[in-house]
Amino acid sequence: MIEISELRKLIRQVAEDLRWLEDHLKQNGTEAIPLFRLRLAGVVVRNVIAPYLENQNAIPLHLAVLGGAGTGKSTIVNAIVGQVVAEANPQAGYTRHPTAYLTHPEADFKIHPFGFLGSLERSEKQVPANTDQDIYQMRLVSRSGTEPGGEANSPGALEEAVKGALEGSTQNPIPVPWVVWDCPDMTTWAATGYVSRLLEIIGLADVIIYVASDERYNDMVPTEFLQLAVRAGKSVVICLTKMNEKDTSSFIQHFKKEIFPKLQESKNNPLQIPVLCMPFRKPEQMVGDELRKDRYRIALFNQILVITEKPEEARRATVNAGMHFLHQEVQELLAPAQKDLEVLQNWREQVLTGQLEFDQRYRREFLNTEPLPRFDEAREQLAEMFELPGAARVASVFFRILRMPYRFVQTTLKQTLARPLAFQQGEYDVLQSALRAWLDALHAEAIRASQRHPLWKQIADGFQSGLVALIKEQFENNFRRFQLSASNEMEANSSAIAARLLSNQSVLAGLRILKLVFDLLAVLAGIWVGGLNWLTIIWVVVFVSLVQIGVDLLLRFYIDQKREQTRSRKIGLIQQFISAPLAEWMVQWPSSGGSAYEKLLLVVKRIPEGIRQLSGVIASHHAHKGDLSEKKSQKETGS
Amino acid sequence: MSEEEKITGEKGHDVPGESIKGGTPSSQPILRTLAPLLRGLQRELAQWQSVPKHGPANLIHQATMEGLINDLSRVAANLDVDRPFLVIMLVGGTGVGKSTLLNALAGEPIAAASIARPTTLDPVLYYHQSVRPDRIDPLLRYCRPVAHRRDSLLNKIIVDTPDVDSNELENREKLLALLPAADIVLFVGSQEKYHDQIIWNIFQQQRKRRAFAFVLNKWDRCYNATSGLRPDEDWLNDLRAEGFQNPKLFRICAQSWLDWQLRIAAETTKPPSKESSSNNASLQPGSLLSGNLQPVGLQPVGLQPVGLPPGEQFLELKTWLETGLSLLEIEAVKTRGVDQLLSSVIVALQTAMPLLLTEVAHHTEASWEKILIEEASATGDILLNTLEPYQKEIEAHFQMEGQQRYRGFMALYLRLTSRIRLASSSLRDRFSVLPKETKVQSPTQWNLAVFAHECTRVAGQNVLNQRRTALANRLLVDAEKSGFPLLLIQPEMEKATSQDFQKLFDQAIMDGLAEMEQILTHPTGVRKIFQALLSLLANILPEIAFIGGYLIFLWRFFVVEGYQASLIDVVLPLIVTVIVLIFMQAIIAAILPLHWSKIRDAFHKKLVLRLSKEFKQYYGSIPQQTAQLILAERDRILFLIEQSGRIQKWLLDQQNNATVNELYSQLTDHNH
Repeated sequence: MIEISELRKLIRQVAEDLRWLEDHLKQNGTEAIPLFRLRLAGVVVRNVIAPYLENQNAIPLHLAVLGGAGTGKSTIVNAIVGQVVAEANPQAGYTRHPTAYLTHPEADFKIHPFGFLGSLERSEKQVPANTDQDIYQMRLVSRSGTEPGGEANSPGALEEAVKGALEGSTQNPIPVPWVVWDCPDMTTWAATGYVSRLLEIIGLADVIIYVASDERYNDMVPTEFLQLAVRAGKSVVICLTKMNEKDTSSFIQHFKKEIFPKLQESKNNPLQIPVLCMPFRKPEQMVGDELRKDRYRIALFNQILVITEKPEEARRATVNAGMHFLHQEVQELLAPAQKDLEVLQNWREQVLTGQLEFDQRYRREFLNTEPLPRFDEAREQLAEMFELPGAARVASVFFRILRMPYRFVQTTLKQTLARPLAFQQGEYDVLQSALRAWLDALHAEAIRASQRHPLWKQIADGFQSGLVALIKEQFENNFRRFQLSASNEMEANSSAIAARLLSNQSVLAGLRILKLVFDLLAVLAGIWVGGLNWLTIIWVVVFVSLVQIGVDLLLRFYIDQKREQTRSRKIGLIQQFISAPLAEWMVQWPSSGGSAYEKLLLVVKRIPEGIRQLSGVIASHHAHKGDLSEKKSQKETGS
Repeated sequence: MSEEEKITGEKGHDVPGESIKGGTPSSQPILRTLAPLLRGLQRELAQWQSVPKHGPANLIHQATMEGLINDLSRVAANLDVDRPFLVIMLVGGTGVGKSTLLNALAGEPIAAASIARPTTLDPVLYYHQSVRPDRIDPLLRYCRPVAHRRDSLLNKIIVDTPDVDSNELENREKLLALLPAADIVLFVGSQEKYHDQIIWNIFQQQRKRRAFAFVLNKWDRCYNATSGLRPDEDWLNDLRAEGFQNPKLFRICAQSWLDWQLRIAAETTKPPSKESSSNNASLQPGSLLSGNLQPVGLQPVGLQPVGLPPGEQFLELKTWLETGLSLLEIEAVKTRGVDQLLSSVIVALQTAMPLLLTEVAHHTEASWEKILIEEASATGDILLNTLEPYQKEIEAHFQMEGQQRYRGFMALYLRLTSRIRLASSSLRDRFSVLPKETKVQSPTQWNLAVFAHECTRVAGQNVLNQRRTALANRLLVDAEKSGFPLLLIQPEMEKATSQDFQKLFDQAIMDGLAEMEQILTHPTGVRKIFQALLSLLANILPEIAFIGGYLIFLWRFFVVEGYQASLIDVVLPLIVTVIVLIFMQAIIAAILPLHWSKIRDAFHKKLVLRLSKEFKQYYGSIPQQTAQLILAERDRILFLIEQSGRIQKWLLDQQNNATVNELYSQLTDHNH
């Protein structure tokens, strides 16, 4: 079992995250319904899950009477309670805060400390229903007889009480303690101001009585709320009102035909929502015994009683449905945040495209024309290493003399034909202008998109105020580090070529011998071709030169390979030290430093996690409770 | 004012003072003269709308403007008739009783009404049979027409509309499509729905555009309030807050009246009408029955359904519709409608007005200049770097150009040597010093244009293309910083960026080199004298040596006794000539040197100067150009506003609207 303090922390976290997300998305102009759904999810966590996990009593159950303006919610409240407690009045949108009618004073309910989090407060004194404040008020339904006592829970007493209730006996007409919530409407233009209070009650309720008049039953806005309640897994009872008595059954049929398809999520899972009705009555018909004995009222009352007969089970069903709602809809809940996340992703892509361009520009403007002269030195070094050491130096000298004409031709050709090297831009300058281009492109894009999404606006504002300076500063630091490591590495790279061969004496010796063999073969070939006369010397020189050309070409090929490797290595270093850290930093920038997007990323991760944890806690809680009740029953049977 | 008081004072009385006596109404001079004015304005607006804008380009604004232009042409067409009709539209939520009200007004079930919501799918158009259907506003043509013969409703068309708030979203769209045709909206509310948000939003959008009257149906459910406000009072408060000081609000029970009328009809025409009263389906326009039922609508006052709640005003509503809206009022409503339309046009134009940017453009240009010069110098560097490896070819080119001064042997000799040089230049590329990507394909046939083009191509491929987008971004960002909105400048910038810059660079290089050549090959001062002297010598000396040599040879061969001509003697004059040629070439090279390193800096300076001039020409004028376009657009908008205002003023002078004031919101513009 989880500690109570930790549990509270978890619940507070999930509820606050949902609330924060709702507020955040509201600023982005998200549509109303997804926001309502978020609010409802938060309410379910605070008002249903939290009390259950803290072992609050299932009694009293909450019934919420929900419907459009003027549909007769107060009349239905009166009908459920069986006496006139709520005043019906014709002003549309008169009720502006929820009122709870408590049927059993001994079963007063407590709102969990996190319930109605900071939004609804209980008004201690009775205020008119049109008080437009974040309050709820509670009224006790006056008793018309003696107390039914604790026997309400035993089956016999229940039957008795139900019978009494239906016949309008003087006993407390309601066997199970209920809180009947009379809710404000959602259709009038003032409702935007108090719809959050309504959602608070929808989330809290165990049973929702959806009231729809003959005028309103196919209205869009109330239907959306009905959908919301059904999706949130609430037990819903639909009560149609104000039609002519003769039309009732056809009306119910019609309603089912029109509205049920809009509520159903899958065809193979037919809706189990009872639809009842309450035809039009004059106000004077809805009092006293006439009200209590009205057959439509009795049908409605029975329907609710069936659902709430066993309060523990009803509450557990509410909790399970709530959890199911959170679990199923978590992706849907977070969906509106998707837009923000997409923009973040888009920004990331822009930055990375810029990075690619930065690297390319470095390669083109600097690296490709950078000759890396150390490699030419290395090549000469290598060529010298083929000279034979020690006594064999005589042979080397001999061959060198033979190669002299070739060397002469080679150097003169090189001198006359070599193109002067292109003037080189400095590495730092190239990098700096590439960085500037990168930042300018991002800045321009941010300004262009700033009307599309607040995130881009934030970025554009950042560029106007010091972001560039911050990045440049980082660039300077990175460049210094790059230079340090690059110069070391370049040095090492070129000198390593000769050093590696030197350290590996056997390979070196092998190569030398191979070269010597080829040279000797060239001499022999010259003699073979020229015969033994003085012209032979020309042939020998030609063949020896050919061998040397081959060796030179091989060496050049090898060194160029190394040079190319070094170039790509250098690009790698640029990426490692400069462009990648900068890109990373820029990608992170909008969602760091306490910005809303940092929180968004956190919240989007934390909500599903929190819901999963809650679901785990609930499962273990169920098991625990099951054990307890089992023990209890065992004890009972044992005794 | 007195007129207004009279009307309101008479509320509750049965017959107002004046009524229409059948007969053909007089023509409407004001309205007819208005039509061409509106058409003219509409044309101007449509023309303006069709050109791309620099203002706050917003799709919503554009759609609004388009809607207004349509409205203008429609209104103009509607006014351009002898006898304009007043279109009265019943608007409200589903189930409030719009169709029932229309039926009650007609005295017969012409519009379907039932418990199924939403009921009205095809709106009914209730009009006098004398109206030719082709005169009816095209927007209303898809309504189901029902003709009547009630002369009291001669110039009025009553339209029942679909709902606004049901789950059928199509219905709302249908209504919104119909609404522009309405002159007077009869906002029908019920006890449940008078306060609903959806219809209220539509009302708030429309209240500046048309006349409104209000009907609170199902009044029997409203008046017995025990707490809270009575719905009519509540509603009146809201309407006052929206600027309707004294709104026309009728509290009615349409259903009671309809039932009552149907019962009377059933009694007067016994057997056949029984069917018809239970039959909700429509009756064909002009059918016998509608004629038969006509007297019902004109029932003598005093007879009314039993059990009506106190304060029921169905008869007032009917009277108002039939006689309260006389020709005078119709004209006033129509003119007022035009006035409101023009106000909306003016508001829309004002929102489309772009900011004045002439001043900002100056700042932007000044701040761009620095960037452009910087960029020109960088581009110059890059181009020069591309040329650098080919300095020998360039030198050779200059020399070849210089060769045109020489004749004879010297010319021949120089041509030969340059050939050899160029051949070596193509050889050079076989041994690549530069990596492949940056290699310029040196042309075998030396040609400055081709060479320059090749250089810029390679430079462009490597660096310059990328730099161009970077430059555009830099300029855009800078413009934004100087206060010139980036989005406004962007289109022009794109145009400038998509220019063919390679051509420009080609030309810059070629011109630069040509200029250099001009300077080098046409020196001034002492060098000019040297040059003249040298070219003279170069043109003469080799020939003198050649001819002289052979003359000496011939003289020795023929004149000198015992002379044995050897091979050396034959070749010697040739050798001497070649030596003279080489010598002359050396002297020319020494005295008139053509070294790349000498012209490099001058060339660079020239190139950069040229490029910055070009860049300034391409980019520098963009802010000013854009600002000019914006200025022109502002003038155009101001002109259009003035046009609209003039028509409005003309209307105001003509207007006689004393009796219709209460139909309008007095609230001056505040946006919501």
